Amino acid sequence: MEIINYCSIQKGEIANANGIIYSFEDSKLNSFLKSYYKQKKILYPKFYKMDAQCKLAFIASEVLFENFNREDYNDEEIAMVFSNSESTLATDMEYWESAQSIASPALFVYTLPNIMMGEIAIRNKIKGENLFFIAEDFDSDLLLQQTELVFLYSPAKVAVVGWVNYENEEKYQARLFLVSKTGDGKLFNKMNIEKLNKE
Amino acid sequence: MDELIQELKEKIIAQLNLEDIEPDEIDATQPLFGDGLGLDSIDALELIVLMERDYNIKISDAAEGRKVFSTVKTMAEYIKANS
Amino acid sequence: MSRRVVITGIGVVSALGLGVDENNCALQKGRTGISSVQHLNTRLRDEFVLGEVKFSNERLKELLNIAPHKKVSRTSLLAFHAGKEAVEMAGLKADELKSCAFISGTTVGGMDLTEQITDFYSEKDLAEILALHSCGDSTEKTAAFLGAGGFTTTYSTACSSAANAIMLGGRLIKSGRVDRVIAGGTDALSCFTLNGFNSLMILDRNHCRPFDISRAGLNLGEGAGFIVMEAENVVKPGKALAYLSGYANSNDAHHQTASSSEGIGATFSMQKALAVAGIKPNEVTYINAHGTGTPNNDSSEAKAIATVFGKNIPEYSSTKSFTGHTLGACGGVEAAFSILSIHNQELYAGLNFSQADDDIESKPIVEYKKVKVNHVLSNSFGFGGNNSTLIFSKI
Repeated sequence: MEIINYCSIQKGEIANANGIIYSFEDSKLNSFLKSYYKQKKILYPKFYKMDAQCKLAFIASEVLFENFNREDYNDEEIAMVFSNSESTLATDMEYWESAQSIASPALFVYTLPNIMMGEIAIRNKIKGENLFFIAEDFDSDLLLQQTELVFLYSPAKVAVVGWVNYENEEKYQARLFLVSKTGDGKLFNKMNIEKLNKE
Repeated sequence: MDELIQELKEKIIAQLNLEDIEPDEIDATQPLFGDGLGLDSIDALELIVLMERDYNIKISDAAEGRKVFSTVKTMAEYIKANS
Repeated sequence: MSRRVVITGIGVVSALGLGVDENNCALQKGRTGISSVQHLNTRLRDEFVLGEVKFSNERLKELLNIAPHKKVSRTSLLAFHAGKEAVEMAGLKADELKSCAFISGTTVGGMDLTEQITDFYSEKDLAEILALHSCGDSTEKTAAFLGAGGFTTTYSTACSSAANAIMLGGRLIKSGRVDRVIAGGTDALSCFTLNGFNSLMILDRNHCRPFDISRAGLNLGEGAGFIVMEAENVVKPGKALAYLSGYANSNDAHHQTASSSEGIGATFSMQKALAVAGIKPNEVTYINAHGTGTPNNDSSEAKAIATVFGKNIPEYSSTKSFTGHTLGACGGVEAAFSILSIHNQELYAGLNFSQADDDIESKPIVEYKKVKVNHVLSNSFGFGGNNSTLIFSKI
């Protein structure tokens, strides 16, 4: 398994495998991601309807898929393996607040964490295997093992793998890997995962 | 009526998170759904919330909603007729 | 190593009753369990009919000899009942349970209790209640209650949770990792869910009418359904009820809460499950459809069925007109019903159906019947495009 791209988002900074590609003076997630979205002219109005955690996952995936030849793959050949510890707690609380008067349907649909994979799937027409794990922390062993299994037992040739976790506007983290089943570039293994995550 | 239409445009933008759109860009007689503003079924439901919360009007089914939310003008007319 | 997966026990709790016999009896008689709200503490109580389990938490605890003051979520209580029944039916012994895996699907977890906390600062048992909130807690508590000491995990993929749990259980056995698994799902009704579904306007204030042209939405329900699966080489004589012969899941990447109108994801999951089972479409006797009663699901599911089965559409119906939509539990509850269908060689009616959509040629069955049943296909489709299909086969 080879790492073809990487994206990390935290503390007002977006980085890929080569280093920081964007930073914003305001590290509050919503304004920070909005500025990146506008600057890159992403033009995907659904972005604004997403909750904070999905926006985080979405932008990280946009970075991952930059320079990726999507047409080289069938819809079923791209998989997703995600994890976080918060599930959708921030949105759960917002939704529950709204339900005390009139429940918001737009918030309700975001109270399942795997919806972040759904948003990425809709954007990129991805129909491969998808898995989401709730775990205490970023767990390299878990993600490596599950990605390997997905490559072994499904048509997937490429997978989006990683961690997207939103607690509040100041505390958030995304670490996504674009992994190819074959290739001799930078290997998708524990050492390289931890190296990238540290930077 | 003009005031209500302007108010509705602003509320729609806020309620549906249409951040890149200004009220002037919405034509009161243009279809809200379909190609126009790219609104979807969840947006329709949020408009139902807007009607109830801000105008005390309860819309009880999706079919009725589709007619009411055809354009900003039809929304305004419905509000006036049901206030 | 690929060994067949045999179901040796089933357990179910739903609006139809506690236990397989009560549920089976209601299914045979065409008697729905959907009714007005008795237990859920909701301000919407007079507005909807629900598939509520007809027992209070106190009574559910009493029947299991659990002390009344003990904090246990309703989701867990339902799982305890259904899990216990399945384990007893399979005749699993203590040492067999020690290495038995337990996989549960749920969306509510302990939220039925935590959502009732009105004031965090004055709640005296706050820590204890909050500790039960997560989906994983009900799984662990149920595994402990049953004495299942093997691998344990929780699925939460909306309405396909229990089906995915069963699928994982089957795969664990097939791959030789475990010999025995208890798998299924559980969900209690909650205000969080009821309000959320109401905000999406997909609830019917009257009894749901799956596949009927006038259908107006679903009725929420609650329940638990668990099955015991064992590798064929360890099954005790006389215990085999059915095989889990096929399973698959897929995603149609269409919308957060709607299926694509052609039912692409559903088509994939049914086709893949048939391939895993190694059977042709025309060998399926009956489909226990997801059939929630929403305009969207039933239309896309009917179209997917037509795509997969062509001219040979098997008999099908949705049992959600009996139990309501039990959300994370439905894959488990309906697996139990599918296995009953095979074991008793019978098919259950689709209640409240009169007329199909104009663009759908097929109709669900509307009466109970005793027929030869070989293979039953069960669909469970979840929000976000989580489409899962299980196939059960006669021994």
